[in-house]
Amino acid sequence: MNQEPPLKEFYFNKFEHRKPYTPLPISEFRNMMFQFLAIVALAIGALYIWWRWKYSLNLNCLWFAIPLVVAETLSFFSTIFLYVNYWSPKDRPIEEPVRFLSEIEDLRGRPDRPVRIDIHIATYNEDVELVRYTIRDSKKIRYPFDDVPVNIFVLDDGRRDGRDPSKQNMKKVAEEEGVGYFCRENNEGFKAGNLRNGLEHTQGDLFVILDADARPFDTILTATTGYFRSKKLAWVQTPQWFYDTSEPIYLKDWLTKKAGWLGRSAGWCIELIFGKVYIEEDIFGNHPEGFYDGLLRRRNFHNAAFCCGAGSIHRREAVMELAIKDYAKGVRKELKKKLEAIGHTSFTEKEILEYKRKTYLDNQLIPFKFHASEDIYTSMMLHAQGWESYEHPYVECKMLSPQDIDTWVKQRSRYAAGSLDIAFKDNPLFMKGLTLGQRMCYFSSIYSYFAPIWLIIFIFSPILFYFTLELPVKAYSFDFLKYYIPFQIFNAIAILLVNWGRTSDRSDQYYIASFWLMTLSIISVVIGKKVQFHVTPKEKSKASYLPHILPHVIIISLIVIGNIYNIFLIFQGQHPSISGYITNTFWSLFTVYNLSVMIRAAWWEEKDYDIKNPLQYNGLADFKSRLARKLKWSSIKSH
Amino acid sequence: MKITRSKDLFSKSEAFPEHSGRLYERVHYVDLKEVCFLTNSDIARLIDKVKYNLSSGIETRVINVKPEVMDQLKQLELDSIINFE
Repeated sequence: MNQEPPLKEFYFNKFEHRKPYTPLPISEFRNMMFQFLAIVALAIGALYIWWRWKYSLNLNCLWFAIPLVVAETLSFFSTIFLYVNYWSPKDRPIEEPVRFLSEIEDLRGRPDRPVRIDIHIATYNEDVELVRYTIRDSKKIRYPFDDVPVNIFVLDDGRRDGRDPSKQNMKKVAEEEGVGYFCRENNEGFKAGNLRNGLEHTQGDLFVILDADARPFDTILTATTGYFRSKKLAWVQTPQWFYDTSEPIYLKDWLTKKAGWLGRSAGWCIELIFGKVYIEEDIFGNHPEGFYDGLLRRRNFHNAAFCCGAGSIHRREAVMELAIKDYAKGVRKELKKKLEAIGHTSFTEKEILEYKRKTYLDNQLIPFKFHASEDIYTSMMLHAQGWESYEHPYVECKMLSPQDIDTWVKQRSRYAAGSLDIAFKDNPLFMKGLTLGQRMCYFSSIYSYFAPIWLIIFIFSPILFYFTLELPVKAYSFDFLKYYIPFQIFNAIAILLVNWGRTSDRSDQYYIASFWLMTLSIISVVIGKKVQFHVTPKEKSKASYLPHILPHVIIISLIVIGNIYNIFLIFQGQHPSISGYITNTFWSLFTVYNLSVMIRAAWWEEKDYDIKNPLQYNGLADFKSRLARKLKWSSIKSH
Repeated sequence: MKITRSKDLFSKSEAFPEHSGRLYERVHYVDLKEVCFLTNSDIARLIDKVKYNLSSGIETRVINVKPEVMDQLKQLELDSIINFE
């Protein structure tokens, strides 16, 4: 018996013991309460917006009042979209895995046979030993029927087949593991092109898409293939669970390390009031539960759960239908354009045939749209053609998350730019074939990336107040509070009911803290910059993090300076609006809380605290070394 | 194990047995006499074949197409793209 090559040690090995979250049980009562509160919140919110436009604008300061009320209105629309997304869960029962083709397709005279399943592992430049983990776990996938072939293929877009000795040899690893290997001579279409290449050479009726780091659980097929008995179901998405998110740190230990006995005492006091407090848990906000179990799962109600790439299971027939229809449409459109341009009469039949030939050859069959956000774009097209999708609520694979802010920003920027690009090219609001619910769900995904338009105004409002002492509203009166506070309370409780027992703090923080990267994405799409497909690195980036957090640092600094200035004016008895100061200070504290997460994430490094001996910690040395690493200041390094 | 794109792709189709069709005077005739249903993957391979032939200067004609298959191809709006007889 051949011995398997040993697995390389990686940083994530220490997280192997972690278990995924379990989906939230569905409660009809809770959902009814959510729907009721959502309607009440929307009604009060609409009243608030109406009151804001009609009665509250400070007419002496319209330059400030109008942008703020526009921002609030746009933000209110995003709440409406969010409620539509959350409206109701709709889980399907897990069915027995399928065995024969006739269970998932109408045979229409064809002989029946066992269904064929392929596992496609897409890779580009990741460590081949990392891919080996994914292959090994794929090989462990169980399926109850021996006559159902489950084939594993590595789709290598890095041409690491041994031709270039300077590169790792992916093909060799695939051969050692006894799985298939395909590579192509170009990177056309990036991941979508890579998947197409895989589909061209394989024959699975169902196929699983995995990324290089997406390690499947052995249940991924038994839990999901049964859904395909529904013959209009095109794909099943399973949650992408990141098992390497940052470890929480016990605050008392951290304070002890930072400030010795003084810190320990402070920690003890905090614990006395709030109980045990942990910090730095999932510092990059990668924990996916809120998105997959909250948002995407509830999109099943509208048949609008989109594909997120890795961890999805697809019906080949669905994507091939999309490819064929798109091809036919492309050919017809181009041919019409060409023939109109040249004029039919002036050319011979032979020449027209030549044009046809060229058009047929120029167009391609593309099962997954060639786009930076190929997964969401393809999903939208398939939904528009009447196909169904399903978000399976249970985690069936584990993945690696960005381990530094530079990687994180690159990944999120791609998501943002890709989604915004779809808005400009193929806006779901106007796409033929989508239902109203689907239109709203897809548009809400895109709309959320326009958030900087209102976020920037919200973020800068307190700063503008601090330095101009002008109020955008007539007064922060009872009228303001009687609409605003109930809306916020009802909204908060409604969201609480959806996320029952699950915190969304971190994702809320990042929603606001991402304003800068989303702004840059909007600009790049508006000026027509081509959206690039960057593979998310699986190792830490060495790039400087300063550009990503500089706007955050400036804003927080302005808030601090503004506060000092306003406190000075209050003590001098020269401040025109104390209530305005108090309101804006609450708002600015909320802003600081949200923006600071990204700064902390930029400074975050995995720590190996000596828990037994926390007082030995040298805070100054740690600060210097971190500064040197982050900003690459060689002068500090030398010390 | 590496496979590159080749003309053999077409032969993988379940609907078209290996080496189906006949080449005559730079026209490849694909006979669908026995075929009463094409999967989308089969159709994709047919398009692939048409394209491959075209790139080699060969025309593809699909013959003996049953009405139900023709309906299928019409539904996908391929009737003006693939030559039928």
